[in-house]
Amino acid sequence: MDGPAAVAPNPLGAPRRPHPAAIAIEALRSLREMALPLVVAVVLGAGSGNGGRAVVYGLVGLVIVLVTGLARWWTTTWSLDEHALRHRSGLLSRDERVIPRERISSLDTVQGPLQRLFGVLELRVQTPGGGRSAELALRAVTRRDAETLRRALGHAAERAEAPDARLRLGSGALLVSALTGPQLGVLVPVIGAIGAVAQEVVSDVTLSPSTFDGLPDTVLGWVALVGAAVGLAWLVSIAGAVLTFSGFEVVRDGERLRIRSGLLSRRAATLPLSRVQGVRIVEGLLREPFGLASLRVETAGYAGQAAVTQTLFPLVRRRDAAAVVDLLVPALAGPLEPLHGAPRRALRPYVAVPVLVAAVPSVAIAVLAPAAWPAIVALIAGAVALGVLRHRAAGWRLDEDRIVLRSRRIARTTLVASVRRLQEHGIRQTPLQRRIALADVGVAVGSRHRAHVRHLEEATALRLLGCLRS
Amino acid sequence: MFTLEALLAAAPAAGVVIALALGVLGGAAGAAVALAALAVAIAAVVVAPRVRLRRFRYEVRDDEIDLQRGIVVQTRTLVPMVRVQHVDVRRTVLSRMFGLAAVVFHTAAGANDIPALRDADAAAIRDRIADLARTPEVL
Repeated sequence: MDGPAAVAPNPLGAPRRPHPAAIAIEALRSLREMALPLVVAVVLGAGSGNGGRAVVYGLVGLVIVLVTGLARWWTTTWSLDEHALRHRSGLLSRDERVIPRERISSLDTVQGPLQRLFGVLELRVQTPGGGRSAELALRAVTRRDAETLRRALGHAAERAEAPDARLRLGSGALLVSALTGPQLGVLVPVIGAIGAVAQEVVSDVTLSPSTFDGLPDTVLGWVALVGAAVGLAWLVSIAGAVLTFSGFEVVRDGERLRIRSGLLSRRAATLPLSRVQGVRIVEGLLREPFGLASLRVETAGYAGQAAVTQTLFPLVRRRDAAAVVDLLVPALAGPLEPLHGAPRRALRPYVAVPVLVAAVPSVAIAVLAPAAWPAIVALIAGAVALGVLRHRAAGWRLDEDRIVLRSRRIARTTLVASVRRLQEHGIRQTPLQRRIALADVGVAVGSRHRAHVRHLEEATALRLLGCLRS
Repeated sequence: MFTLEALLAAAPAAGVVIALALGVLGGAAGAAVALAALAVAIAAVVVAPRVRLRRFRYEVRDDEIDLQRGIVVQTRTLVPMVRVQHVDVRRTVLSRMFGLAAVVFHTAAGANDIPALRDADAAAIRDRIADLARTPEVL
């Protein structure tokens, strides 16, 4: 065992506890978990009229939180030996996780403000397979230990000297990305709030006049209120985007992509290129008119769930998208245009669906509030426009090993994927389509994404499917 | 078995709809809705399973699994064998009553199944797929 082939002394061999900063970090974690009961207890204490009791409850809660943090730190150890990474934790139920060296695909890091204060990192050990259990978190690891761990595992150092490619998001682009980011999803909390208010109003049968004092009287008032709520949700979404994508940087170094991002909480993820199965170019509602898009990456066997880990680059110009993909994911390089589109006669089925969907509220308005007929016109016109845009957006292209599928649901999305790595491909026909010889082609790529092109000529769809199979 | 499955799914749904229709709407409108629900339920239980059975086709080739299914919308799905991560045989209480089982195979994108095979066939197909699906060098 001695001689030139001897294994270097392993400084990480002995089980070690996380950095003492973990006490504070774990305490904060348990505070977050206990936040609700703690607040309830304090409020109860205060409500009983005795301010002192609230303070006592609060202090007791704090002590519990600190003790929990201390206990978690004390009972957590990890070590790296020649076979595997071992992690033991837990006071009452001892939990041991063993991850063989070969199954560690990468080490991602997250650094929140607390970690930055103490100069430590949270290390997320990635294994293939995806899902929550594929990720092991080592909280409060010093930079030196992290680098030693990387070297011991044979991973490249975190900062590459001369990377093959590097792209950084400037602050101007960050702002534009945050402003144009919000999709219809921003309305969800607003609708939720409206629903909650409506529920209150409806359920409270004996309404006192004071309930209505806060609510506006006129239509204009309601519009203003809803507008303010949407505006607020928008601002929150913008702030979130800025926090997440500030300082976004993607580096291609050999066979890996390293993506770094975040303002308060700094994340660094390593994505092996072999896990990248496709790239999606998403032109959101607010971005398409300006010729902008965002790039998302479709992977299989990668546990990252956060929005950042799915983002290849937050904002590009549409016409630069192909070049950026070529730069970052050479396996998917190639032209994205021209695409074969859907046939002209497919326009009717494309328009039919949104119009049918718009017909429902239209009929409702016609029956219940005929005075609001302009709304019906707007709805139908909008539906027709959406159908036309969908028809125009549909397209496909097949190169040697690469398929490009473009479609629109609301936002226009282009998928570039490696044919060899497709998880599924298929063809679909409704009875109506069968009658007029149209069909849909669909593929499943990565762990999460399915793309379709609808209403192609049946013969074309079958031919495309045939090419995908060979 | 498809019929029983459809019955178990349709009966409570139809029951709820009919009860609501008669209870809440009442009168002629309620009766109409109830009748419609009954008709849909009958169609789902009598017609749909037969169509489903007739339309379901599967083939396990060396390099891919070919599934054709669908009652109204017909879908043909091809799963490359190299993408299959693992294969199971799934037996439910319902399928056991008929001596049937389903073969479920998983890719990174999710699961697909070949439902309602004879028990012995299911095991054989499962073994065949397991053999053909080599450990993928890339996921």
